[in-house]
Amino acid sequence: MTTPRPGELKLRNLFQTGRIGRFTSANRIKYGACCVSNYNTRDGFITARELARMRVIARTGCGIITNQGAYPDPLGEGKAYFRQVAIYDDKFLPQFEEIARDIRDAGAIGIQQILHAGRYGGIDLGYCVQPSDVPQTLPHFRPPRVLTKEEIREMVRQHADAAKRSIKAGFDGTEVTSFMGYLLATFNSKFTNQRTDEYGGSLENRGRFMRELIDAIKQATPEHPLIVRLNGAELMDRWGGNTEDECFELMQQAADCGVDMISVTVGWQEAPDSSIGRDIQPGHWNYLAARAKRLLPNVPITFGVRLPDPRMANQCIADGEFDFWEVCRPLLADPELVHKAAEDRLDEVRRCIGSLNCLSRLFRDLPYTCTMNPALGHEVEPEYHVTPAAVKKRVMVIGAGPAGMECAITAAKRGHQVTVFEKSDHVGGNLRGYAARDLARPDDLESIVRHYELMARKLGVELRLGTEANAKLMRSILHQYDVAVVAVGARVDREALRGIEGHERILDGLAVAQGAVSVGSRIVVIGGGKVGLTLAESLRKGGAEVTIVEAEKRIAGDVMPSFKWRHTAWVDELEITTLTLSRVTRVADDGCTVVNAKGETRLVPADTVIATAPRRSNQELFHEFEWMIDELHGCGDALIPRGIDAAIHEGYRLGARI
Amino acid sequence: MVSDANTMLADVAGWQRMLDRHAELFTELAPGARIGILPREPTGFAPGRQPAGWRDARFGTAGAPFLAWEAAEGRMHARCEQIGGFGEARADFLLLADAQSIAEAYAALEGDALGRLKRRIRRGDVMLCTFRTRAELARAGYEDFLDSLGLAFMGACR
Repeated sequence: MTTPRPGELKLRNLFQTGRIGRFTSANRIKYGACCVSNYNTRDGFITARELARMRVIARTGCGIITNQGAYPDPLGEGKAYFRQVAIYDDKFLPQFEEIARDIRDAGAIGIQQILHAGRYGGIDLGYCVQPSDVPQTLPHFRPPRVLTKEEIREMVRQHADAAKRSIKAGFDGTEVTSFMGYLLATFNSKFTNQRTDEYGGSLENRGRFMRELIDAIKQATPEHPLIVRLNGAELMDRWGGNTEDECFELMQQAADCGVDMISVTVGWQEAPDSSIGRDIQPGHWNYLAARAKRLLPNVPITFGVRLPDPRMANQCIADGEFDFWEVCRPLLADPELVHKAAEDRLDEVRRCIGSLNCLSRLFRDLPYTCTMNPALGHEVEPEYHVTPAAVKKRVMVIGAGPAGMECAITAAKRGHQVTVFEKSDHVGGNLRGYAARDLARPDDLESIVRHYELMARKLGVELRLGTEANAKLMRSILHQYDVAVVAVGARVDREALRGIEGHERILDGLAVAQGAVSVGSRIVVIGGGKVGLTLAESLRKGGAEVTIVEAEKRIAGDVMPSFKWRHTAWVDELEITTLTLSRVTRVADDGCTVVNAKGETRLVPADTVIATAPRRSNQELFHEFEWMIDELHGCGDALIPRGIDAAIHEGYRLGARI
Repeated sequence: MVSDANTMLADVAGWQRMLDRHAELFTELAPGARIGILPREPTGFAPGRQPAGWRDARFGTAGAPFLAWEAAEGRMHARCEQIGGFGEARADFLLLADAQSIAEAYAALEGDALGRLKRRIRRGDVMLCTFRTRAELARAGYEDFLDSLGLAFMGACR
């Protein structure tokens, strides 16, 4: 028996062994297949990119590892994502075998998820299949076609075949997901199931498809555990969906059928409320898992919806709220999370900040990536590997924002000697001011800054705060450094505002965000992008009347698709006035004059006008340093104003190759 | 309430003024793009309930008042029709609104009618019924308008 590591002693409940079917897991952590990667071929084959990613996942230290959902039917009615993997034929098996082998070699129990997307499927077909002809509530999805009883039977058979194939590939068990409104959920829910035959109507009838599915898979793979993911809450009540009570009655049905584990999930994709975004407090949904555990004390319950913290998970297990912590996105953000927890190094974890970049990318039919983990999806590419530098260099990074700090710590990990020069007295750059004003959850964004401060200290990165890097400084330190990285972000383009009469009265958004200047109670914010929105929302929350003036025809143009609706809903709820296709032409004591695209003019009463747009990169140093240093690079908003994702990713890539 | 909805939806001039005020949302629409507002009551739709075979079903002898917004010659044109079933709507998508939602949007025609519809959609009082695929809607230039209604055009996972 190996000696427990210090973190394992602290988080004893999480690191104790667990049981699923006849298998014993090394700990109570299950890697959940929360979404598909979109790394694979259009016709369902697993790629080298996927294999490399799964090799990293296999080594995360989880006791159970779920491989992403594969669609089980040859037509692709179950296919929800552009590059989702398929498991309807043995021709797909060699790569599944490799993944199963990697998981087993890492000492984990391997589970293959079967994902028939039902209402959200048929991505290549132009239609989706459902129990009943219930129109889509979102235009993203395809028009429905009603399943016949014969087709239902065929689907059950396809699921059982997919399960058999999974076991043949070397997985220990299978999982069927109804998460987010997929096929199984559409049968269970009275919103989408309005059939009048034995598959619809009563809860007993609506659960019939699920029971037949469980029976068929259990018969096909009797020695292997089956997990079913079921909603604890659909959040579809307003559309006539199941109540929570009905959700739990369905869980009881699944348990009565002999399912080996239930994974409790929350929400449908089309639900009008958040379930997993940063605007939901960690732990918010734990009550659903606790209810499942009370209802089914003898069925292992796994749960992890908006539960990113292993300490909270450890406590929940101790309190008997669930048996396994199901975790996915936090492991995408930091694949070392479990190892860091086991080694009592949780302070080093790169936290999932719930930006939902992963999902935003999926819904644009792109491979998923992670704001916090630039290497995700690039595991197969040497350019993304952090390897010891062939030549150790003295690197000066100018700017301690996310781009500069990411570059600094990545370069330091490779053995470079790194110094960060920062004009202000703190790490974090512009992010620091805006993070505090995030309406969703400031702590998530602030955790990025804390992470950089800590890692800089641990990696021996020298921080020269309160030191402005300019030509004079460069002359004074000439030849002391081999590399300079300009990562000084972007600023509001005051030049572009000069055409506004009274422009000198306009405050800079960053100064306001940082609390460096005070504002009045009637505010106009120029710019309705993410920076302007964040500022406007927080000022409105603080009691001010706020009007946003946006030059484009829509606000939130630079906001991630998965968060856009949240900002527009906040603007609505907070009753912030938005004037689109409009520009400010004059600022005076009584307010500002705004002109729209039709040439109509209006006076917006205001005592404060703040500019957050347009933004321009701080590129002056590139020219000043050009002949003063061997290598000169740039990254982040200093190249093109974008945001935190580009800043972190570019900082990492540069740090990995200097 | 249905007769009220009839009257409100028949105020084509009022709806047209609202559409003209928001012309920028419709500039990308392809000619023939068509959106419909139908009162929910005669259609038999309700949260969690659709009439069986609703696509081919008739609305009853009186039919239903149907407000169509149709793109032509670079702008959106409002017109009110009486239709006997969904098949006659010939819309890319329909907003099936309860009587209160229609009344609220109508009352705000000179103000924030689209904002009112957006809030009612979120509350489930206005149901969306799409007849085109995402790609077809994108090609028809719907993104701006759908975005203004708070409908996640490119997926939704919250």
